[in-house]
Amino acid sequence: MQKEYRTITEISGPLVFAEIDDPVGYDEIVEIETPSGDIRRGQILEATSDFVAIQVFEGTEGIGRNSSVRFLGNTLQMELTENLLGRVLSGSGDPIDDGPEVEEDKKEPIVGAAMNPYAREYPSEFIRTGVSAIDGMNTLIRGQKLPLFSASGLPHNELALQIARQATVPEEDGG
Amino acid sequence: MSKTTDPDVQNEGVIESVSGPVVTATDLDAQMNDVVRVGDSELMGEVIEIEGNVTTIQVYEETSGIAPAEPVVTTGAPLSVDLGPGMLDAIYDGVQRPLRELQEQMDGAFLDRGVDAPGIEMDRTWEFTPEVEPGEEVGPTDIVGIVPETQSIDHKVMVPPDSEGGTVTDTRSGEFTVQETVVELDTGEEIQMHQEWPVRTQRPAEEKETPTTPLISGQRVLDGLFPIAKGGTAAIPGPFGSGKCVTPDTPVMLSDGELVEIEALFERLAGERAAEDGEVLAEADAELMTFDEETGDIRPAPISHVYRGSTERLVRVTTASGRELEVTPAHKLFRMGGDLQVEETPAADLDVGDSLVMPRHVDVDVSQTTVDPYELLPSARAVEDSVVEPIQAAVEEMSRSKKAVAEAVGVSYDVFMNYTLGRTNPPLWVVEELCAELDLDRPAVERVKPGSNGKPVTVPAGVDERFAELLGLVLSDGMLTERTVRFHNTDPALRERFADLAAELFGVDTAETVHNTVETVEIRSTVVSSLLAALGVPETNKSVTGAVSEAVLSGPDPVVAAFLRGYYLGDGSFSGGTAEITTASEEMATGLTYLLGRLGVLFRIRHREDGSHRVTISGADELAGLSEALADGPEPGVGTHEKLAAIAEYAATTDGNTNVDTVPVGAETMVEIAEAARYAEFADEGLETHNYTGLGEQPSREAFETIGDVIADGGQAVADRVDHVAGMLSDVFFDPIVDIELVEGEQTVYDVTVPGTQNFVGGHVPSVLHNTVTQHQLAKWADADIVVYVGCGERGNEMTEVIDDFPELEDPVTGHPLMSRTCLIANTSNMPVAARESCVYTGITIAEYFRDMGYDVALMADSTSRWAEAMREISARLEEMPGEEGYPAYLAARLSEFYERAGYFRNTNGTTGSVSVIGAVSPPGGDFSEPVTQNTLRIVKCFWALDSDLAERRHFPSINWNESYSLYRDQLDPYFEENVAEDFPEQRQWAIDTLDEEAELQEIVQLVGKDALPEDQQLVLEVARYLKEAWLQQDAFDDTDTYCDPEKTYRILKAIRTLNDEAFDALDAGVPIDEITDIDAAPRLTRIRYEAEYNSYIDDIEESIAAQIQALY
Repeated sequence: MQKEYRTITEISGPLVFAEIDDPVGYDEIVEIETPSGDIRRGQILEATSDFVAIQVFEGTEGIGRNSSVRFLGNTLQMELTENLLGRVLSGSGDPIDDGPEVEEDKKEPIVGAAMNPYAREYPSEFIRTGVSAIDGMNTLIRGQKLPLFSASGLPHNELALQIARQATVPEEDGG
Repeated sequence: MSKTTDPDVQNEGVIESVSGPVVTATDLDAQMNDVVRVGDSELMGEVIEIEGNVTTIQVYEETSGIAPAEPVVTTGAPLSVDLGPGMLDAIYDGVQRPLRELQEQMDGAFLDRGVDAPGIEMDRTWEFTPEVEPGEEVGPTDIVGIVPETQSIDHKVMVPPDSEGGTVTDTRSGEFTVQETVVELDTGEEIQMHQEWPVRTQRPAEEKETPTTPLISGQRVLDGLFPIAKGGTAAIPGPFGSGKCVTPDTPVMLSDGELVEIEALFERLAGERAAEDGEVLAEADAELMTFDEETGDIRPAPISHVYRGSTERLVRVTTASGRELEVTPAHKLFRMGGDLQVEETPAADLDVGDSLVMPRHVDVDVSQTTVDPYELLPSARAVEDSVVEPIQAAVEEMSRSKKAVAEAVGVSYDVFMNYTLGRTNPPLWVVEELCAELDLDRPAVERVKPGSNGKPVTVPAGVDERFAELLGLVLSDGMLTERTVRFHNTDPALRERFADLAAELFGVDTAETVHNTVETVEIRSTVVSSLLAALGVPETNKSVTGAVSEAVLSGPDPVVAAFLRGYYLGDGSFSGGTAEITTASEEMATGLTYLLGRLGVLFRIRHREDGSHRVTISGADELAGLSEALADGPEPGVGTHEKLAAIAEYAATTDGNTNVDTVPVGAETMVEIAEAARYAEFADEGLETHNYTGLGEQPSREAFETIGDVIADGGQAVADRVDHVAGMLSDVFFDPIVDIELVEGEQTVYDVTVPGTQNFVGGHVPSVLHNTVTQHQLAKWADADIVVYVGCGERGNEMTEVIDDFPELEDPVTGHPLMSRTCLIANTSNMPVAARESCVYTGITIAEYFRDMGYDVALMADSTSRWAEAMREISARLEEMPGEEGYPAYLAARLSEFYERAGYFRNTNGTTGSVSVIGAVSPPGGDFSEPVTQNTLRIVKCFWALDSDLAERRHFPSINWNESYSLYRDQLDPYFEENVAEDFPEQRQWAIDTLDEEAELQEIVQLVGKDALPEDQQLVLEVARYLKEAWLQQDAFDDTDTYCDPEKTYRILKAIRTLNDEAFDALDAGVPIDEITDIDAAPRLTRIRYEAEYNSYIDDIEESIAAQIQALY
């Protein structure tokens, strides 16, 4: 049973403070409905027994003290399905490509659990990106993390897309 | 620490607020630093602040979803570690949860929340032997018994430090779990093997003493220049470790002649471990070919380990004969020095023009490969009565129902009856199944036919010479289809040869046709076609994917020769004194070169831009060898085909030799050789020594052997060397390097360990490759009894490397696995921050516990920077006042508190033990002025500055001698004076001064060049060079050099000092510097480190240096 509060006490930049009487979990997802009917989502940054601090994802414009706050009771979860391939999503995981709603196979929290270092395997599979400057001199290995350091005016997203488009793991293809 | 069921709510509070890892609770009656269970999922946390009714808790696990009003329960005890047998050989996270057990409990690779397991196994039993008798008085931390915990370490069971002690009333011996009582005291106290200790409290000790014993690391640069004391503290900037091997597709030759890619060999030998990712070192049992430096032979040798790891750069070495080796820069290759000594040289140090030792002749002892028709031709039909009849008879006589047998064999009853009544011929697989079913021996099959119709074909018993030649012909100029084997060639003699071989081998007729305008002879037989396919002749794309059949590679020499003959006849050509085979298949080229190596024929290989590979043989000697090997005529050395005859004829009529087979002899050595014998003697043998001494030519193999004969009775030392090299020549030759390239990029690399010779025959063309094994030197070095390794905020992949690596390493002192005296604590960068803050405390508490037993413990914390960042994060959540760069104001206090727990202690129980702390700092951006580095440097007394420049120059260990320092030198000097040498400190100071002076001089040299310096300064540079090369550099991958005891460290230094003193005396006496530095004995200094019996070797060098320099004036 969801409670709806109209208890916003303070709005400051992206932060909204609201009084509550039932406890809410840390990191949980909040929906704020503005008087105009807009729904904004946010996340709990600090949870105490009588108020919460909410970080609003989509901006606080239009939220007032008479806006209503709903606590969804779970942390940010992502709806996962193979059908996500080919879709365009917003930062909060909603489709923005005018396509149908995503029917999830399962939901997973976006904060993953830490991996047991004992269970890890050492990365060794070469990722062929087809970009010779990367393959030849700065090889990518599956399971590694490599940031692209960019500066203003440089087409880093083009390069990132090119890598994403072309990357293959020859070891896997070979059987 | 179970959830309380006690209705007493005193120790249960309620969450008030949650903010990341910081949670506040109200109504909780807990003390500072008590461990609490937070929320319904019982996350582990620790009380860090109490203000009125509000308690602040840092939670060691992810807090998402934890809500106010959930319960908080205190365990009433501070964060403690479980101490007792079972801690060694364990891997823990930051709060001593055993990762191995967690993986089993959670049944997955991820760490769930709220799961806990005791740090030591509570139900495992240990063998306890009491050390005290009833009636004895014991006090806190007194040792009451011994448990053999691992192969290397005896665990000493102690009275807990907070006990009051008393008189022993009862002791037990035998097998107990850690929770069972083993000793009872008159105070009623029961002592178990298990005890707990709060991590943030230092375990008590009687007194901290000045450390006066060095922690001998076996590394000259550390022991000699920057020693750390047992109980001392040291800091190293940056990470440790690097690798060195060959690439995955490098072929390796096994002792049965089989050629395997090292990757496949690894997978075959490593078994299950091959499936593991990351660095793997697996024990292995196999034999391969190795080059024995002592005898100069290529011989079979067993291997002990196979290894896989990764590297960031490779060196590609190309030699005159076309061999290409891709190895890691540290990988050693055998270089033939101009002084006729074989030297193992890291690939990175090789130069164009150096000669590498390469196998000339690989002699393997193998027998012919047999052909098993059942395996290779399962669907061919049996035709011989000797095969069919016994089966029919057996079926008649058997007691079982025929239907059941038919079903068991897997054919329908009708078909089965047709077979057994002799109406149709059964396929071989049916025969085989039936024999297995009826418990008969498989009858030998000599003839088969393709189907129920079709002509019978003979199946050869093995891959003999004729078969190999046919394979050679087919692979060179033939092709397979499903029903035919074709051989396209315009030479009628060759087609006839093919037809004859087909008739002899298979008893089949051949037909002449024309395919695509090329005259062709073809065998129309499905059986022959599928037999060849089964032996590895590809049906399509033969030119690119073809390879020498396994059956030939592992066949005896005549088979090898016959295959080469067939292949050469089909595809080879001879013109202008060069025999040549070109193929587009790299595998085929590799195979052919190995075959040539088996026959002892030297070749060159070129890889062309169009992707083809050209193998050539030239020079009279080699062509004669080739012709002799390939000859198939009735008389030895005569080939029946004109293509073979052409080679023989050319070889017989020319004496032109190539410069492939030469021996690299430096001009100086040649002068020595010339002096060793009279000039005339050489002239008598037709040798013009001046060609080699003055004109820079190099003697051919033949000439070199003559030299050996001539000087055999001359100068003995040179003669010995010449003789040794001449002895090698039957197995190896010397191949000059024409190109060296550096290839960057991360790659997986492999290696095998060959005990003894440390090398193997492999590469895309047979070569001798050196091998090595990665080691975590730091942990291996120290002469500490126990090693505690804390991986704090390290990247997961790096931690995996440590976790994979350590259990494989061998303790150089005991030979047991290094893990048996090691405890690993891992908190990777994505594990909860609060647990990172605690992991160094967990580590040092475990270290102190072993210290109390009287052990010397080395604790490595990698890296303390990540630890400081964890403190910063928690501090920010607590809204504390930030200090420098956001670190909490108490950063310096915490750091020193931690390092202060190191020390050399007289323990309460009377033993002495030490905890040495070696902390790695990894400042962001290499900025040593940031607070963590600065505060660390203020505390530690020893700093080993790793230098990436040195690493790139392949100077290992790459510890910069100008930037490093150790403040322990003075207090350790008495130890060195007493145990090593009176003048150790003095010699060390001399080395430091010389290196300092060299650094200054180098600046001048940069400006004006070395020659502009006065002679005495040039000499300083020369001496400093020996200090660096012969003393500071150390080879972690050489069995002898990896560990250098302090005596040897001193003696090498002293030998260099001898050179220095003698050289300066000579310089004062007016001897030119060139003559002094040119003495023979000096370069031998760099060999000392490889000598296990160094004393006599050094004596000899010191004498020679003195004698040779004094002879100059």
